[in-house]
Amino acid sequence: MTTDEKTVENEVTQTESKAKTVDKSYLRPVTDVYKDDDAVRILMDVPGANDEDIEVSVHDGQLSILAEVNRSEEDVRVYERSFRMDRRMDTAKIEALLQRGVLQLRIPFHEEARPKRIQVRTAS
Amino acid sequence: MVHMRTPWIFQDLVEELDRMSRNAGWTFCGADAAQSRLSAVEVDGDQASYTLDLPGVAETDLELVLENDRLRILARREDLHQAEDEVLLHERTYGEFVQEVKLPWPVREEEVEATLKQGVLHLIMKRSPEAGPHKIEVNSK
Repeated sequence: MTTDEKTVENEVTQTESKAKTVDKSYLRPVTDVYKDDDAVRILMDVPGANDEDIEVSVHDGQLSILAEVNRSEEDVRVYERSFRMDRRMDTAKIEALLQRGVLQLRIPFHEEARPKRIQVRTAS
Repeated sequence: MVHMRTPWIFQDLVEELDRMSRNAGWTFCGADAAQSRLSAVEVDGDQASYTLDLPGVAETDLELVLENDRLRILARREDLHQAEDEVLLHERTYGEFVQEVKLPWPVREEEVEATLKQGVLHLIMKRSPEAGPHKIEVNSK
């Protein structure tokens, strides 16, 4: 084997070795968003994620969800998605629950933004 | 097709979601169909393993059926949306789901290890002794 061939072989080996080290996949998790009079609920599939794998943050009116899941030493999946929040949503009161690989977020509306029933009185 | 109503107080949010929903694809695996990886049976000697994402599926809504070298996974995912909810984005699938997996050989039914953790099903199966290569007698006439 010539020196050049050895160099090429080393480079190839090194490249393969790097590829095996981390195989990160960036995925856009499927999501449902529902709204009722009190809040918006977001349901997001993040299979394999534990509490500590998930980061939920709000900055400049944008809700960002990031989950990095180590499925194995060679298989790391990154679930990432962002939503722009309406200013009527109370982002300080977001509730997050992880159950069976589904992240559930509840973002309530500010009290003043919720629909109110007005009592109508009959004039006497 | 995502059906969306756009109440004015949600205009900003809906616009953002609408833009994103255009690329939505069918999936039951936690990510867009185009991005998700199809699970494959991994074989190591006389042991095979199989992993499948089943987010939102309860143990009680999961059934595994072995038939020779075929594994059938039947799962059901509950629809969590309430009747009074307005749907702003709907990408996740609900209802019943069936996945059939061809195994490399028949497995020992009594030794199948199945775990469902954080929405991921993981199976470890061992090769049945009857599945090994065996000699066929050739009769000479």
